[in-house]
Amino acid sequence: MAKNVTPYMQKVNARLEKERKKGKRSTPLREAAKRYKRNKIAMIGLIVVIIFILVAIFADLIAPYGYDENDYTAILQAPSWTHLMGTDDYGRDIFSRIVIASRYSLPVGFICVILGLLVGGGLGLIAGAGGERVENVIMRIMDIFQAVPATLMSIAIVAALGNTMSNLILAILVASFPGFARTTRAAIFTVKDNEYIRAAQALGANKARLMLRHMVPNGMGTIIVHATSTMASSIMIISGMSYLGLGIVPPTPEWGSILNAGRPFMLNAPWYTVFPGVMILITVLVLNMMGDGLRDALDPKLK
Amino acid sequence: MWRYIIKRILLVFVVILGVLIIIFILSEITPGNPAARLLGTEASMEEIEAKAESMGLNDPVIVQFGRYVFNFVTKLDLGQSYTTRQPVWGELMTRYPYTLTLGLLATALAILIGVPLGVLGAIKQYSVRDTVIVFLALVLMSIPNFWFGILCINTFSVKLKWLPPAGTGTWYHWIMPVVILSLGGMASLIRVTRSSMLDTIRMDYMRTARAKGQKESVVIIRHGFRNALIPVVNAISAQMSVVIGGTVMIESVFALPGIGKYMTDAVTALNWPAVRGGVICLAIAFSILNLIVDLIYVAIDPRLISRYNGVRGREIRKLKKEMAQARAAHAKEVNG
Repeated sequence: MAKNVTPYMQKVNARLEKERKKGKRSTPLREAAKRYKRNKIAMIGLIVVIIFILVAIFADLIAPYGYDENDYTAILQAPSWTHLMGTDDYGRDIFSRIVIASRYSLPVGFICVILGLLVGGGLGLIAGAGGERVENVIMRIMDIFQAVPATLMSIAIVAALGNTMSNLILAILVASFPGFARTTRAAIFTVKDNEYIRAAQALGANKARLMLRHMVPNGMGTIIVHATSTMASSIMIISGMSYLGLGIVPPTPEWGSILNAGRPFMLNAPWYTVFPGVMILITVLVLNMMGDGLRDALDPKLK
Repeated sequence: MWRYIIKRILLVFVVILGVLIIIFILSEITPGNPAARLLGTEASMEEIEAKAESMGLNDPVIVQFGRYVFNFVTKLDLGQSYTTRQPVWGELMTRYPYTLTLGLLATALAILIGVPLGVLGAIKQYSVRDTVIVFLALVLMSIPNFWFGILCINTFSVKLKWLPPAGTGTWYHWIMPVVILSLGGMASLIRVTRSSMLDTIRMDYMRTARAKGQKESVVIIRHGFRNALIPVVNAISAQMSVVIGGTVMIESVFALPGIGKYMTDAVTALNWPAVRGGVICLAIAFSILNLIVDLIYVAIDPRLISRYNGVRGREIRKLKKEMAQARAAHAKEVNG
């Protein structure tokens, strides 16, 4: 054990002592969690994200009306206690529609990110850990995919394949997986030359074990951060696509399509377009706040 | 240096060819017979058949792809629009200036505002000013631009009547679309500039510059900012793709007659040749802009060239080759 020579060491030792009493070992992950908890903006982001997930799960219980429940006596009403966010041109309760829409917007974004992580991350891993030639081929193909801006690519794919939920997911996946490949490759590159990798290699670990047991966990930080920001941008693209009439088709509620439907009534019923937009804004904002917090917590050197 | 530049330019052609392949595959799996779409609903089966034969739709896919690329490269022929029966290339060219103006102005505005704000934030980290700038960047990054566009039209055009709501004509028409399109890029430039500045501000040469009695503004700009520029240029090139994607949304919100509007109209009318042409055009524009940024990147970062073909680079390549040979020889010895 280190001696208490400097005030700083005393502090460190005191902390270690305290942790030993609690029976907790200081691991990089626990350290990161501690740093994350100290970051107020990041914590707000995390809490709101959890609230949104709960709202999406219990949407049926929270929404006071059905998403397609018409009431022709209450058309385009301003927000009030009976209709928290007002009603639309069919007399449907906008609050209920927005709450139920989170059942589509959030999981679709999440599925896109998971698939993008598997496909793009896998390719990036092969490119990063494999030889120079493999890497060149994979990365040049990623260049080609990235030469078409994400929004354009998604529009082209949905236009070609037709307007369904699975095609929408495919479209966003194709637009986002090159980013994952690039990030994963970069992350693998930073850990690849570390001594513990060589040590594991010397101990006889095969390539798969080297990649999955040693490289991936150590490079995970950057990849997770990229996943959070990709989820934010995916949600933005999904709602943008529904706004153009290419995403999730009405009457299924989706933030972008509710917003688009409200456009003609902008002047008399601004709440019809304002609230869905605010929901998209808040969702993307809290995801970005969480991503920033994760980046700072997982890699304290970056600032 | 020339070696790098030539290789980089060749890469643009490879990328564009790749984009053509992707788009062509997409158009192959699109349902519907192009000949039937071109002739309209009154055409008889025989007419459609004859048209398909003359368009070469019965040839193998690979031949069709070859012809498509050949026609595009030699005659700039991207096919006919289903709705107007006009060549797609001509229609795209009349719309190109609008998209280019919108994209370039938005990028310029993003740089002009984003970069100074990032520097201002970094100079006094954790101050109130810094916190405000960081949070502003977060919010700007999260605003859905199509929604913000609608809100701005409603506020500034309909209610206050300050700015025209849509269309083109005077420079007033450009204010809202350009500002709104620039927000996303501005946010990411603020963030990148700030973190890159924070890295350089802690460098020893900054302290040295101050120690020799240099003025603070000169220290920040000449010693700090210039060294922080490389990630910023990189971010500008990454942002280009977002801006070009954003023009599609913004043009449809503000009814600007650019390529984005053309494409969204074409998508709703299932006018596939037009969509295909639009995507190819924007991808080419994007590749060329990226090439320019990459060349600027080389000009400001001499390390890149030396790594590529300087004495050191050559030595490293030679060493790598030797090591690979040694490794192969060793493997042979062990296995065989």
